[in-house]
Amino acid sequence: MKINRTTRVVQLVSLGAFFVLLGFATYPLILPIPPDLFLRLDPLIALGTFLSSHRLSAGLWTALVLVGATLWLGRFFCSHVCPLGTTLDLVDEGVTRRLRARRARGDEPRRRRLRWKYYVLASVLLASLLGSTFLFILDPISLATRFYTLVVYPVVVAAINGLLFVLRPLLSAVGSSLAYAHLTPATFSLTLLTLALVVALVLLQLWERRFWCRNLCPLGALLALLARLRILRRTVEEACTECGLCRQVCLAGALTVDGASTVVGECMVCRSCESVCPKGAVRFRHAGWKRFDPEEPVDVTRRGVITAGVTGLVVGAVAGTSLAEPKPGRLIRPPGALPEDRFLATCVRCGECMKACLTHTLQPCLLEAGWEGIWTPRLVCRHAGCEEQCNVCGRVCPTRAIRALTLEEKKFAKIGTAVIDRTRCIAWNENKECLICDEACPYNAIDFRVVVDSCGRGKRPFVVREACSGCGICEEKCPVGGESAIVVHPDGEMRRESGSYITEEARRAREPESDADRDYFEPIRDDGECVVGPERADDDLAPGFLEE
Amino acid sequence: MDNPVSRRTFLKKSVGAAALAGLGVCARSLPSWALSAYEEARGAEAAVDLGVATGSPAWAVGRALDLIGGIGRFVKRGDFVLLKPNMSFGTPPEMGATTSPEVVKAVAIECLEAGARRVLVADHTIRAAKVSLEYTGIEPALKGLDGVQTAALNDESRYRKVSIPRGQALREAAVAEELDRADVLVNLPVAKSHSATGVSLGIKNLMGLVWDRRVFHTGVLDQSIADLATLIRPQLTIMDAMQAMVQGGPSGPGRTVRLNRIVAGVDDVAVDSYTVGLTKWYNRKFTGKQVAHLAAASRMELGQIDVDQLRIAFDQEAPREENSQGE
Repeated sequence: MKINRTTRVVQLVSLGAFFVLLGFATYPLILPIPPDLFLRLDPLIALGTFLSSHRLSAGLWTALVLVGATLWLGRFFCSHVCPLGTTLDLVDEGVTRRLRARRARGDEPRRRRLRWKYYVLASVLLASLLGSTFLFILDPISLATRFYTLVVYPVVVAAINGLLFVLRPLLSAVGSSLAYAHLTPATFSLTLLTLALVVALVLLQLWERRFWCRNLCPLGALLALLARLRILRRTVEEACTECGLCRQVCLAGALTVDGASTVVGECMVCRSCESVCPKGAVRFRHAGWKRFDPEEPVDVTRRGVITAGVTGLVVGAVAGTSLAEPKPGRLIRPPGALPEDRFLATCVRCGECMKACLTHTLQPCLLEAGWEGIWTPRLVCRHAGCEEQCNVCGRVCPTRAIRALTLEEKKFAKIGTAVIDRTRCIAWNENKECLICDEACPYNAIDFRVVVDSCGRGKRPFVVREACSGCGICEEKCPVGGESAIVVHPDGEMRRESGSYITEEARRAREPESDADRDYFEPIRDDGECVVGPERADDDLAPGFLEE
Repeated sequence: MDNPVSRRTFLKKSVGAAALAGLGVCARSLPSWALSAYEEARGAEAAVDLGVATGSPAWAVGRALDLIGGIGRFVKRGDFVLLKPNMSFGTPPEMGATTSPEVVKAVAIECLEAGARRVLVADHTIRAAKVSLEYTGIEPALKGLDGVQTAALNDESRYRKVSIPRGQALREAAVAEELDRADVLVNLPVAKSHSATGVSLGIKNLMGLVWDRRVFHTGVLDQSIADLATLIRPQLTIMDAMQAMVQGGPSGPGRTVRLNRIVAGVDDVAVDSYTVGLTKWYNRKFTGKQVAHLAAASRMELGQIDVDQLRIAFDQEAPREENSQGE
């Protein structure tokens, strides 16, 4: 069962690179290479999102590189590079291998399962064709990114913070600046569900090593189709004694009983057979271009293909008719998110934006965007607001479902409008000297006005709609217990597929002079609820001051 | 196969690690709450109460300190100095919501030259830590100064709940435990308006050393600020009044005026009260006594609010061109 040592080294280096890139997907982005590189390598994402949204993914060119490499080397990606594959291998060697049932050694059921992944691929692509990227929850790179972001990263952050806490007396004593280091705790919703999906893939290995990769993975299927044309091919020389060792080590479960030939397209080029062969009879050689061989049809059944196609079409069709339009509830999408239907047709649910989000306001949806919006990002402002000076979510999005905006554009890409609940706000309702929403607001969007009402005379907050970006930092900081007394609604959100978000109106509203324009103490409206006093700056005191 | 001995070893080691961690926690909570020790510096007799200097930030900081007897009066060789600027917002220094990096740097250098072992520049930021430290310009300005660290104390485990015996509205607060460790606390507020408390100056700036500030607002804000000032008593307050955001504070944007002044003193109520009189706030002239939270602090006898009673030393040697920018 030992994997080829070189392959293992490349696997570990790749997984390490995946972790490093994911780690650097944070504010500020300092890497010269895109931290979503693995997602950009994925031709299934590039092809699927092109079908679903007719937009060229950010990873188009890098995905073509992988296509080219697969045409040359075969399905090496699955054995060497895929972070999900490596994870499954490591878990298998640690746990599932020992528990694997020794029965069911017959080859036929196993061979038949190999075709399932083509059905999955067909479903994914057909659903994409109808504009749904829901099935991308099954893309392995998306799945791995999502798993390591939502499940593993929070644990790592907690562990680092715990370690820093325990070592703090020591670090303080030696005057290290690490004594003050503290990572923003990462907490996510849907961790259990995300974990469950990966656990399911692990459990599948109780039947068969790499069950997922061999039999179900849609990217594996796509690469397997490309690999039929590969140049590098496995050959078995005459010294072969048909000892069958190579069959035991084959990562892909792709060898025929005698070990002499490979089920076409299935070989993952881990080269374990080559290193295990006692006679040195197995070689991988450049065999030159080989045309598609009609003698080797893709091993699928008509019934299977039809079923898969119908499944994909049904998923796509139902997704297109679900509750996503009109948008339910208080769904706040990240700044620069495409219009909702286009967004749902483009987002591959990888969670990279959630990893990169500085404040971790970006959280995975469960049903907030309809069932097909599961794992897409939304802001949970009560948890944390969107930081004004940060624009990393769009810059790490591999499919541009969130546009990569400049910081200036991002500040104007309005995602909603804050609304004050006057029945709960303690300034409105209890006449308290609370200004936290104003203090926290980076956009000059909260105005305080002196108001005389049934609660007495005091300063009350008003939201300046034109200035408000919907960042929700007011909602986060509001001191009222439970639900915030100032809440961001998607009302007024700007969802644009192209073009600038900057408007003169918003720019003007955010300038400090606009406060003066609005005449500091002159009440802006009398809406019947309150009697607004006739106070003017000249003959009135600002709050916090006393008469002489 | 699993090896029972290795498992036992593992358990032993885990217990050992846990015990060490426990010790670490105990060591942290050794009683050394010594805020009242700050009273000593306040009691020390000095020729003047306030030093007021104009000019470039670095020059004015040095002069203002000289006028009240030099930084050496407060910072001794080997001291750990805690500097509390306002760096709560991710706004540029020109906005006036945060203490200017030049002032912070000048004070840090003064402390180092007086022999400080370590200078910690810290605040509990409202906006994200990285953004606040970077955009205020304070962290970049201090980079490369040996012995100076910049930190956002945005982690609850760095705060310790203490009671406020003299508190009238605020009876307890979780305050930064660095106060416990520091030999000297230097308050470095920026002069700005505040939409709830009128102005935000020295004693208001101390709220940045508290974990949960929401109780200030759900309670009685002005009195709570005075209550906190009974607990946290900086040895020295250096007011950054190079510019003042006279409207639109605390977070801005708002109208700023150039005052080109540094005001230094031991008595923070006096520093605040004097600063109130430096300019018009919301287009109106005020005295310190008219600021509700300063009046409350004065009632609690935390300092001299009456500017006429203060001995103020002015710097007369400010370079002319610096001075000419005027108000």
